[in-house]
Amino acid sequence: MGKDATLAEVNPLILTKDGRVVALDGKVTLDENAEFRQDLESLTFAEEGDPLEVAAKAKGLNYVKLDGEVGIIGNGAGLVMSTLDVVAYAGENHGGVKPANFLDIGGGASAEVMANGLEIILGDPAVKSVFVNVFGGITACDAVANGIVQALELLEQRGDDVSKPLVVRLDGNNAELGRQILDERAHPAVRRVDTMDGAAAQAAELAAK
Amino acid sequence: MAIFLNKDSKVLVQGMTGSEGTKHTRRMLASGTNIVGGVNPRKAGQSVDFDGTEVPVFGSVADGMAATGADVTVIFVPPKFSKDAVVEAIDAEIGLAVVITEGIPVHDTAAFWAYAGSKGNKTRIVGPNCPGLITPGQSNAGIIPADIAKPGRIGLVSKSGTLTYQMMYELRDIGFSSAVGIGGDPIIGTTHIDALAAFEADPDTDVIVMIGEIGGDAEERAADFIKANVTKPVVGYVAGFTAPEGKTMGHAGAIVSGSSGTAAAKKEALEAVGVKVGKTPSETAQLVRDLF
Amino acid sequence: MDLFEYQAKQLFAEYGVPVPQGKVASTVAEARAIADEFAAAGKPRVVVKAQVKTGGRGKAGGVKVAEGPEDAEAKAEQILGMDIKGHTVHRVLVEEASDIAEEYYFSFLLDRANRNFLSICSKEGGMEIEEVAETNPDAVAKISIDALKGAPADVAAEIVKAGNLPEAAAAAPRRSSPSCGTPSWARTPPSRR
Repeated sequence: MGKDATLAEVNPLILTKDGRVVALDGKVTLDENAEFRQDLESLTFAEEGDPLEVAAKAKGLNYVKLDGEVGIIGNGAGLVMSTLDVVAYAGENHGGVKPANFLDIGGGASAEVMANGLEIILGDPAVKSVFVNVFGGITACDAVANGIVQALELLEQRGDDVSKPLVVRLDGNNAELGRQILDERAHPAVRRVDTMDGAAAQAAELAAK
Repeated sequence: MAIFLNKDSKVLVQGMTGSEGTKHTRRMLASGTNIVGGVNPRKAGQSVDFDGTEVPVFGSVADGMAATGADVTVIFVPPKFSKDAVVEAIDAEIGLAVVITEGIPVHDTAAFWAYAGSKGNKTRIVGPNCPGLITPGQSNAGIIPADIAKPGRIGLVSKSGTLTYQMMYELRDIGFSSAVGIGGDPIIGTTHIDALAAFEADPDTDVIVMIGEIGGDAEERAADFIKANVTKPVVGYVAGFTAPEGKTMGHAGAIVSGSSGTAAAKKEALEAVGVKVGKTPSETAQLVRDLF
Repeated sequence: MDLFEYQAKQLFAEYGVPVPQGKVASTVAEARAIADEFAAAGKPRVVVKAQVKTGGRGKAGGVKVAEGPEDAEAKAEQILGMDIKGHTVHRVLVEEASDIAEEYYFSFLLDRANRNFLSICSKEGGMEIEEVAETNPDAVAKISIDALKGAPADVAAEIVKAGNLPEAAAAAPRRSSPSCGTPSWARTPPSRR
């Protein structure tokens, strides 16, 4: 427990024929939140896990690869989980398309974080469409809209392909301003839908094509 | 009345002089919260100017309480120092400690929770890894945007910050008595059950909205509690039906382990005790709307 | 973050928990060399274990007993690169085979519902504990661990007694690590808080 373990399991713990107690197998889970006081890095290997997850982690993104076709970006763990569900429901009407990933860009949603997130998601060959679902709570939606526009420009400058359709839903703080920014920029890949359910349906439909 | 927080609440901020603390102290003040001081042992005796409001800095929670009569502390200190900050609040016997910080090792949370118990649970702990709580029009202890919804008669309790904002926004015209973000960590202080009990007893609350997510069995235990103790209508929402097994989904506590902690099991447990559970946030909001 | 079995065992050893002697190998040649060392030390019989972070390794053929270095080489050849439930085997643990008299189950874990820690133990080891809990609940003992105290000697003794573990289990870890089981923060004197 001095190592910040949340699980230490010995199964089986054996008594040998000569009377010794030995841990024959071992399973340990360490708390990633304790990284500041534990050496977790020496225990991890680059080849582990999905390459997109490894790349996302290197960029400091909270990303989990799933097996669907609709790329998901959102702010806040709960909202992103909810977005996955709503897309999966919508997918039932569109050939069973599913969310391709979990990606929480957190409260800030700056242009750089948005660009990094889009880069990972657009780099996933399974992704057919992307749903950007942001609720402006602390962050204002105009800042998020600027983030999306700048992210697309950044990716285009880098020579990345940004032709996959991007369904964007902005709601909450300064939503009107944010929507206006997206409309003015009129990027060919971006489609603006103002409700979460409507946007999920459109993203699912685009992915099913 | 509302729960846990009202217009008379006097609020200290631990970590007020840090960047997050400063940003959110400004926001809390702007929404009318009675911020009576900050806590920082290295800056005791100084004061910080927030757009014309001078907020004094105290050396400890106890000093701040003695000088101002504070009964709430909001904690923004980094994960490394959070346990010490919460222990200090418990030692000072402040009534409510709201731990906003994300990324606190769970051993530390277990330690300060046990410590609070050993001191007779005089301090209610909300969080960690939570947006705090708000009683619209009265006081705001944390980072929930104050202008999303007006005061009203819905009580909201949620593990998720953004889903709290989303739900408040969808029901902004009906309004909220209080909204409590209890946090997404594996161990948290105030639970769904605590908030349900408080809303049940609160004369200003008519309908309770409960938002859960994958991981643990807090929602299942809340369902048992609702069956035995809650007479007011409860509407639920659970996030994470599509979450794969064994993957942490953003929140440290949001993980399906084997067959336990699934969204489907939570929804089923809630529906079994008569809670209406929405499939999406907007459907959930509509279920609430139907009750008014 | 989950650890591989060999990492978990390194951690156990650090805390004085006895584990079988063994080393990890990422190539067949390395596995052979480890088996050669064991043979030279008079322990030709080894176990070759796939290192993947998923259950059911045994059933999938990822754990094999080898009679001597040549056999160990052959078994490592089979296991390395194997796919177990979507996890590719990049490493194998080669360790001395143990003569098992009795099998038990023992764990420490986070108890979310009670907001502290829990020790679970059982004399029905070697199976999934969830299965044991269902078919033979009396064989599973659960002892709550106070997050402020950890598991000092008296708690360890209680765990051993409740789970019908061999008495040596309580004594063994503490011999070389007196603070084993006590969370680091629980040792922090109150004055430093």
